[in-house]
Amino acid sequence: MSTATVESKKITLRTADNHEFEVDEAIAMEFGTVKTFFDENPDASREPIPLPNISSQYLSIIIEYCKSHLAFRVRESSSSVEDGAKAYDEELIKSLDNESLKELILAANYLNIKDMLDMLNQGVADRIKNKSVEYVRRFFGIENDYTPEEEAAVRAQNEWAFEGVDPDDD
Amino acid sequence: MRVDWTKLPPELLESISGNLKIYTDYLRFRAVCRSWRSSIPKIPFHLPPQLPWLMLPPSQSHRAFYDLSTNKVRFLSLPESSNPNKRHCGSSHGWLIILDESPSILLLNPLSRAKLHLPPLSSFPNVDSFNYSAIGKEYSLRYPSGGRYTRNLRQMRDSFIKKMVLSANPSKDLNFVAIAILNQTGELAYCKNGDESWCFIEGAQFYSEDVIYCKGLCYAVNKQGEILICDVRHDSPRVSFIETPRQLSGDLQYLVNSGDELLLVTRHLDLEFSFEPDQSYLIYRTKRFEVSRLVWSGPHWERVESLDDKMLFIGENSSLSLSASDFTGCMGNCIYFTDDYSETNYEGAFREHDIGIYKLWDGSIEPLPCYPRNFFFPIRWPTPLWITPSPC
Repeated sequence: MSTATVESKKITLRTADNHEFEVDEAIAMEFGTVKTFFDENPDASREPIPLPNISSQYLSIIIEYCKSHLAFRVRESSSSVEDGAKAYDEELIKSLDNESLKELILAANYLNIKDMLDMLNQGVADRIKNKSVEYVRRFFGIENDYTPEEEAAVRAQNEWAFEGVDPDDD
Repeated sequence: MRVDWTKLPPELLESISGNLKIYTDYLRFRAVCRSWRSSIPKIPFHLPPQLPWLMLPPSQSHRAFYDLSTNKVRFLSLPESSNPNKRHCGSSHGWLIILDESPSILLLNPLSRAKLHLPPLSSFPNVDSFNYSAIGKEYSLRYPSGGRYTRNLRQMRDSFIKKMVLSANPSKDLNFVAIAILNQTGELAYCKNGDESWCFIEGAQFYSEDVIYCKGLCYAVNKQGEILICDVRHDSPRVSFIETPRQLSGDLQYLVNSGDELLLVTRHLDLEFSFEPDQSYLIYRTKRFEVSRLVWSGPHWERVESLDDKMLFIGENSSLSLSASDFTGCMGNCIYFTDDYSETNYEGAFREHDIGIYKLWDGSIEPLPCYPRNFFFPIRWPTPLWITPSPC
């Protein structure tokens, strides 16, 4: 009886810009949307899964993240492993500019990767800490849809909260 | 892909806003645009304890609150707390505990203006009766030995209760408990939300100096540093003692729950004469603090030389420990303190408040920016008090 080496199943993902990524099934299952799809369709053919909302630039970051965190989880839980995962996350966040951070949030939300989404959301929260309302609007590319009177009324409700912010440096 | 972030699914917005730990960040986030304002809850229930404001003496119907983060004074309209006949006997989880010249005990959240009443002073077990028409002797009380005595409205307001703390924010936990230290005997009393009267915690004739509520239990400390633990969650409270080697020095003791540790903060006062042109008077001045942590095996108190990143807020408020790195405008390894001498609060004329920042690393005391040295307040005003701003 020969013990055949079990080849891990691969799943192919196709991005919006038509790149195909072949990943181990274990990694792809970290994507909540992919997992749900295969849970509900266990016999689905393994054709490339289209991800029309995600570009290759961001999918590759996401795949790296899931690979690394899967590897951390496989090791026995200890404080050094936790520190390692934390350091990885910090490095990742640091490396992202505001645009990439926002795009990754949308991608992680679309793919339903909870841990990554939590981490990215914390990253955004840290970047808008103690910033003015105008800065936050510019950060997210949001047009102010309040009339001046409405805006004044909103601010008047808790006017003390709108002072003392960091000067805008963007 | 140009994404319109105003049209995000509410769960995503809530998740980002849920990671904002400072209330002002949350308020500003919610003011970004109309759709965000309607998607994100008005009251954030997830916020951890905020950096305390210092509540300053009232001016007309407004109370001023000094904010360390921005070094600014904010005014909130607070008529319920601004009358000079009010006294605060505590500040806990963002709520003020207010006494006046009536038996009622009012809980008030200065930010949300939410109000709640606790059972009145007249419902304490040692109060036999209360009668408005017995002028000057409105309260009739009984000593533990059985002897009777009377107190008037002001005396009950000022000297009956030393301090009160709450187990939780009443908006977040309807089953909260209030604990009171009685002034002369240091006895402990408690009541649960909805009770009609207060009960004494039996077996707790303890001369408590300070009390805190932590992880479902109530911890009180006496002058010697011994700890009383009470479990008041059930019908009859259970009491146990931690006897530590006696602490023999220090004038005031405070208990603080810091991380997972129980800290004893000992405050040393000096009595000084202050000479003014037309009168001289005695003032208390804090000279230094000592901090110790409880080591459960023994048990004994072990001296703490550095609080590292932690800062402690003590005074008439429920003792509080926070990490300086979570906030701006404050320093770790410091004790932010206010006056706390209940018996002397309403005697005498003018004096400086005993307020400042004690730095553990060099033992020096820095005045708070809003309270420069040589700044006199008539001390019949309520003493300044730390209060954590809490939106709910």
